[in-house]
Amino acid sequence: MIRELSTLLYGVALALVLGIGSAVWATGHYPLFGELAINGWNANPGVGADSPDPYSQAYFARSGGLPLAAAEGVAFVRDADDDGDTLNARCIYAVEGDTPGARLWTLTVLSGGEPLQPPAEGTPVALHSRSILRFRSGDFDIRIAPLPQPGNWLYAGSSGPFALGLSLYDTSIGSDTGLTDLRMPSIKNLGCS
Amino acid sequence: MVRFIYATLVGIVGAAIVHLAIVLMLPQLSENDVWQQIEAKAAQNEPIRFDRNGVELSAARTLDPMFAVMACRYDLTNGVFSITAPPTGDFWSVAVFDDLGRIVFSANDRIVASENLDLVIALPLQMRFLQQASRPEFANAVLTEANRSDGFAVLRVFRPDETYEPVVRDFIDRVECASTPL
Repeated sequence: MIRELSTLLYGVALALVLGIGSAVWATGHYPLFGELAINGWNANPGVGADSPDPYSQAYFARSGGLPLAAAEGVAFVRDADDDGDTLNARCIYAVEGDTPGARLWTLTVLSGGEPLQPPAEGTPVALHSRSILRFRSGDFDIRIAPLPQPGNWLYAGSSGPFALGLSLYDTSIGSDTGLTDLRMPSIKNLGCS
Repeated sequence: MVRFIYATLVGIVGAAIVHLAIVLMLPQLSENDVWQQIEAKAAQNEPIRFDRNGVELSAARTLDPMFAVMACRYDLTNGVFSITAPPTGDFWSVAVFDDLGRIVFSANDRIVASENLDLVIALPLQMRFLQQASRPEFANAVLTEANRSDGFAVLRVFRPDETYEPVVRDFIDRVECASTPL
């Protein structure tokens, strides 16, 4: 009798612990189903679709965030440089290249998943496609550094890990046919202090 | 031993059921989603701005800082919902969410035929009425069908820096959300 009861309790406890634990884990981070990865940048165009997968819905219900809808844009996130090392604000990075076709894009420094607050008025913690200098080819070179840089400068804090958010607005990337190569900027580490 | 392995198997199957139940029920049960936040802060058909320069909502923390974001909450039980806004000359986008956080419709200033926003949201039955007897006030509107009567429309306007603020503020002042009984 006691053996049967303990086996039953063990089975129920296992179901609850594993079930609740895995559900909390799966809905606690950004959904990766239907992920679109280009040159190290990751996005999930599915969150903006008419019927997103249940994990995306659960994630946004729990976190209270607001996804970009399909006709609005696609948000890419990246937290590592081209060598695969985590981005750190002590280092200087060069963000080079161009983005897929979009009416407008914004590049934002994310700290702990949220946009970084500028430490002083006018410190560039976010840039947009109309505010940057470009080469004759249309490509750009943005320097991420703790101190001001010539050309395009983005400030990511004085130290500590950070991520970059690149949001493309009015883009067809989510419904791309694959006929053209999608280009996303590369991130090179130019040295750390 | 056999009993133990059997209990483990039953536990794993049970865990899968518990996992699916929690994930599928979260949109209905969550008390932190954007709908709950907007419902607590704004009356029906009242435009509410909730980016960093507006009302503090926890949903605003992860929004793109280069956009002004506002929303209107609607309830279709007593009539169709319409949102109109003047042209800004720059990028804006609109997304309609229902109370479970699912996207009903989205568009931007290039997709709609005119530069100003004129959007009507109706339940399927109300849409039948509108199609049978079209109304002059909705002649140029984009008609969207929603399956749930509660929801909200989110409007994003490009606001990269402080100098855009007067234009954005003027735009937001002229956004009109209304409900029209049929």
